[in-house]
Amino acid sequence: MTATDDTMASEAGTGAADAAPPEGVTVLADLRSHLRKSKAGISGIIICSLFALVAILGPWLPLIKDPTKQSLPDRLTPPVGWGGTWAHPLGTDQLGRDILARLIDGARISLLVSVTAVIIAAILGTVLGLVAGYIGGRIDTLIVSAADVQMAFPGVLAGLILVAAFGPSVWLVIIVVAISSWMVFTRVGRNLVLTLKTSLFVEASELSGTPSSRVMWRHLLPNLVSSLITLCVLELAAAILAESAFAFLGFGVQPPRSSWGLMIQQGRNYVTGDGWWIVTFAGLAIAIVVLGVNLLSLWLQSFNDVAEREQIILERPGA
Amino acid sequence: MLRWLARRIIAAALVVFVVTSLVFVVTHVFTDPATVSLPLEASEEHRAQRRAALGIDRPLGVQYWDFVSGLVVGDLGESFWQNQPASKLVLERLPATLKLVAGATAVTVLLAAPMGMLAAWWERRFPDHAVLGFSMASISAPPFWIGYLLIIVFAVQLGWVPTFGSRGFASLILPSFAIGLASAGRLAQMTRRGIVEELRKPYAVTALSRGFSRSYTIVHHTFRNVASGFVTMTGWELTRMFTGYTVVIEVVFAWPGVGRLAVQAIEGRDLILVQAAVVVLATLVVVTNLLVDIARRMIDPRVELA
Amino acid sequence: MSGASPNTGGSTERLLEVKDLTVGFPTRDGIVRGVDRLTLNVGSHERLGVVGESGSGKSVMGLAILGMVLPPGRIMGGSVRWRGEDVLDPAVAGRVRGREIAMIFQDPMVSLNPLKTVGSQLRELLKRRVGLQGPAIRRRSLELLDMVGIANAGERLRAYAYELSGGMRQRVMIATALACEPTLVIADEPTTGLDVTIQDQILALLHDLSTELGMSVLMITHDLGVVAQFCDRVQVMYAGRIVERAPINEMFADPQHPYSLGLLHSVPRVDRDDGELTGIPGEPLDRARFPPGCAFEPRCSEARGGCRDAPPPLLKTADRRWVACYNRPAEGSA
Repeated sequence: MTATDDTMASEAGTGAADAAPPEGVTVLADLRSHLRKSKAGISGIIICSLFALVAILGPWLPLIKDPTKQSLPDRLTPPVGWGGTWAHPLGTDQLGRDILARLIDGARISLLVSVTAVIIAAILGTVLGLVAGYIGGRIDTLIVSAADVQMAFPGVLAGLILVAAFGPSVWLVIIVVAISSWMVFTRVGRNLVLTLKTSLFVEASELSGTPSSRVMWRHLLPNLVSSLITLCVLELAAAILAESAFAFLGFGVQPPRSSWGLMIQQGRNYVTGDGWWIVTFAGLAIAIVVLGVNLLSLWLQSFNDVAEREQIILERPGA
Repeated sequence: MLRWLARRIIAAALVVFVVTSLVFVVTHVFTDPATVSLPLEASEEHRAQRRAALGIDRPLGVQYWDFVSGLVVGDLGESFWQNQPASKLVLERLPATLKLVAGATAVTVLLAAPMGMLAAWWERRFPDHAVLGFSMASISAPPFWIGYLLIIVFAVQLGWVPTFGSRGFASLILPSFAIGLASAGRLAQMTRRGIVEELRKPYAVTALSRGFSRSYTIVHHTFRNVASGFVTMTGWELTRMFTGYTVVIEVVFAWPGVGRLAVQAIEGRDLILVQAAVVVLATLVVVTNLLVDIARRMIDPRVELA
Repeated sequence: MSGASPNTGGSTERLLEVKDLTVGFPTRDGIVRGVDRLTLNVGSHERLGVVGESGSGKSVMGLAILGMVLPPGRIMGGSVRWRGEDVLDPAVAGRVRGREIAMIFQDPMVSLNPLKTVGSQLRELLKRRVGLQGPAIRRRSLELLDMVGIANAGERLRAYAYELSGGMRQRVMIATALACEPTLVIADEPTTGLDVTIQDQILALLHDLSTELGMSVLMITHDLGVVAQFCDRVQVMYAGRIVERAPINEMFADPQHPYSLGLLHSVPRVDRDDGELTGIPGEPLDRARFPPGCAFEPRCSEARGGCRDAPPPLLKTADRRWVACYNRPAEGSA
């Protein structure tokens, strides 16, 4: 039917071609059958759902202690297996707070920041990409050069200057992560539009006099959805890592709220002595969640295996 | 070639100009160095004094002209936290950052190239899966955490290398690995995919049909053809290092580089110094991209003169 | 035509014996056989042609003879013997490839390494596969370029493939094939994409070289003109199977398989060069959906009921003539 349908036809065979039945249904069915064959996909989905569940349900989970409750006599209790007790399964930090509870609390910040940032970047970037690709001309040149400049000025640098100017805050981190990822969506959106623009059905609807904005929405956006989901997942991994880096530098969430990156910052003085578990478990939490997201994105990529998208993942500079 | 080079250099200079102008807008239009340097409760009189001292009471256009003409001669303003020219402070720290990036690049390339070739050679076999596992793990773990794990294991438990600071070659090892592992993970996958794709191409089929072994064909034929992609990717990793990894890793290892200077300057509320550090790092990114383009042209004579 | 064909055990030595070679490619709908129970023999000093449409499995066959299949395909059965040795054994293949059997590919633009000069591609062959050392390498390189008719060879050694003309590239490709003095050359569409005059030159060159050096040639092509000009014997391939085998004169005088008939009557089109033959009614074959019976049945004007049940075997119909068609009685059966 179109160029994107070809690209969507994966190894497993997305047969969304000529007959064009309800497209979403076939894609979903194929997705499910493809998932059954992929260990990476299944583990990715399990990790990601656990992460989301814990982050959302955090405070209402049973048996979880108050993440902010200090208890100096209990400070630096080692985890179970290293001399600790089940009262604090993962031990306590330098102020005697329960590490498991703080990890669960930190999941909320990670989820909030990364998901919000990716949504902002995806909307902003895609709209710019669609506009650039569809309208072309000077506006296209302008948007493309803006993306190029952004490539040369990755998010962390922008983050440093913004934090210096406005002081640390969670919203700033969200903005910084979003501006370091919008151009990825712009590029993909624009390329897809350019491919589709020349394909027959857009030409046909132009001939029959459908207004151009409707052409864009009716035909182009559905074709973008699959690649956008893949990209979002990918950018989510980068966003979680970026959030943790900013929190670690002390530029994100401020005490007494907790975040995985901040826990590592606060626990770092105990790395060389008695308290290796603070940094270890906080980092492990980040690594496992990012791994889950990466596995999910690996599987999505193998599903709609588009070389160009892979290139973008690998080639993008920045945190 | 020369005309191409000239065009590329002009384009790069233009990007530096746009980026620094954006930085100026943030630091002088949305706020100003005087406001940032003073506590919120400072008196209006105090503020006015500081503004006058920094020349921020003048019209924006004049300030911008000062900023741009300063840039051209390498004057990045005065750090009031250290009472020294910002450019001097940044340039003093630059060699340490460059040393760190060089070490990390060495780790990246020396790990990625052999791992990528190994994975391609044993495509869909155990070594391929093992390399993929390494890549997934290394790109998923936050680099600063890798840094602490390396410290816990190699400096604290085994005592092989110093923990913090930059004394001698030994202290360069851990931070280089902390940065290089993730880059190596990405690059190894790219190399593997590149070689696997190249092995299906007619020229590789020709080489195999002439009786060259798979390993010989990978090393002597396909790797050369993925080399230009490899260099481009290494360049991207370098820009990641300059802008993200070094900042965090320098903090972890108390490494006296530009990134740590920027973080310290933020804590010292010294906007001018942060601005100087950011401008220098952004310029390094642009220069890296330029060098990558030149290197690609030298490797692959087919790269367009465009 | 030069030389008597040794098909039925003539005076010449049998070099290559391929028996029931089958190459499969997994697809969504199951395994498609790119080459299906292929049998062929090449004797010494023989020039055998294999002719068929694009997609008929000719190129897959060429590589499979060297034990090579592009993934995800694989060799599913059959044997390839070179002077009695099993080429599908990797150790034997390592010896035979390049040194005994050398391939010439179509489109030398992409089949020569784009990042190596002509000289360095010859050098690595002469050094690593022949074992020449020092100045002998350069001497032999110049000699090879001279043999394939390349003027100012010394200068050409420094050139990259993209700096040469199409005809020149194919000459270089032939030179790299000759570097190890092979006994058999498999030429896969060596003239496709070249100008008509250059095509003739390349064919003449291959013809002369094979006579001079005593090499056998397996010519894979879609172009019957090439076969007529070059070969002693020809096999027609359709959908991975051999449908007819005959000495060249007899094939042109009296084609027996309906597909061969169609091939001979089809008008070669000058304006396209993609190997598609026109003049046979029906769509060119779609490999994924060929029928359980005779693969040509859907396009065949003589098809009858039985053609759909099982693929017809390749049977001998007369001396040195073999046809796979139910409508052609085998020798002695009628």
